[in-house]
Amino acid sequence: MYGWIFRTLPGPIWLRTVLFLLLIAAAVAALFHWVFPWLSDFINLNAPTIGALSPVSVQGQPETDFPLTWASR
Amino acid sequence: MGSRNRARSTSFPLFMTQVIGEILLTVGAVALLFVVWELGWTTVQANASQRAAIDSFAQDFQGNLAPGPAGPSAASSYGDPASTPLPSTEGEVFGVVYIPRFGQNYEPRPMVQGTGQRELDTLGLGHYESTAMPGEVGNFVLAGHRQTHGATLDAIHTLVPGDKIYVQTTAGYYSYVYRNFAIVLPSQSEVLAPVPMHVGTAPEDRYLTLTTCNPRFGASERFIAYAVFDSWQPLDAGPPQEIADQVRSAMGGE
Repeated sequence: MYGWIFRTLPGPIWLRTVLFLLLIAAAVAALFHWVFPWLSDFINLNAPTIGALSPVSVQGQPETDFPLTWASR
Repeated sequence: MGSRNRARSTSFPLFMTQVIGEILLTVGAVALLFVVWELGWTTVQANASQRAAIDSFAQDFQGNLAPGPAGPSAASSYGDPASTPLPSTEGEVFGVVYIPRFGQNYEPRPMVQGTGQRELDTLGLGHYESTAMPGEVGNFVLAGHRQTHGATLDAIHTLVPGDKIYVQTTAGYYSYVYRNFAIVLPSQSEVLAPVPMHVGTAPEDRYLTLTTCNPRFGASERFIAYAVFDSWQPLDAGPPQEIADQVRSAMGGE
């Protein structure tokens, strides 16, 4: 796969190396910008609020905005 | 040209093994990158946006930045705390929180209205909208991340009873004293009651409650820190001694 990509890129070895690194950088940027933020919604690592599992309110108003309800967004 | 011929002459099982191996290595690298993003990059981003939030709060902040008079008697002579105007919109930064116990490297954190994902992920400590405002009789509750997105309350377990927690708003400085902690289930919203854990009881005291996740890298429980109101001082009295330097640098003074 990577070998095929490297062979398909145009130019001499040094140019191919630069292009290859640019492709990897673009892939990492896409992961950081779009994929990981989306993925983190499904990973229950950080939910600091109370009432996230059973939205009972103390003062009669239902909590509607807590981080883990991706269904509501 | 040699490599192309070699690739073509490679047997099919060997070719598939190579492809599957590369895919597995890629999946592993992406998983490691995700850890870097979640535990590192989100904090880099959140620290930058929290600093910007404090800067914009500081721009509108009109207050004497010289430290206030020393001693508890001076601080307790201002009477009942003035109330902070209710933020008009969710996501509005309406104060700054200082927790000296978390150390010199712990920057003051913006306090924002609301506990939605946007508020907590980018802006620091979120105020549960249904709870009291700073200094009010009742329970003033803030949520913050233990890990990721600035890890605003990562060191919450290091609080020692008697530690001060300071809240600065456009009305003044509210000082609370940390008293005790509790570890509860995420569903135990009694924590947010005007008298924590006593739903239906009319409050007489002023509480500050911090909620974050527990254990440190998990979210199966919540770590709750309870503090009680200690004193208040208006803006023109200047910031409390203990945080005077931090306030000055956060508010753009020198």
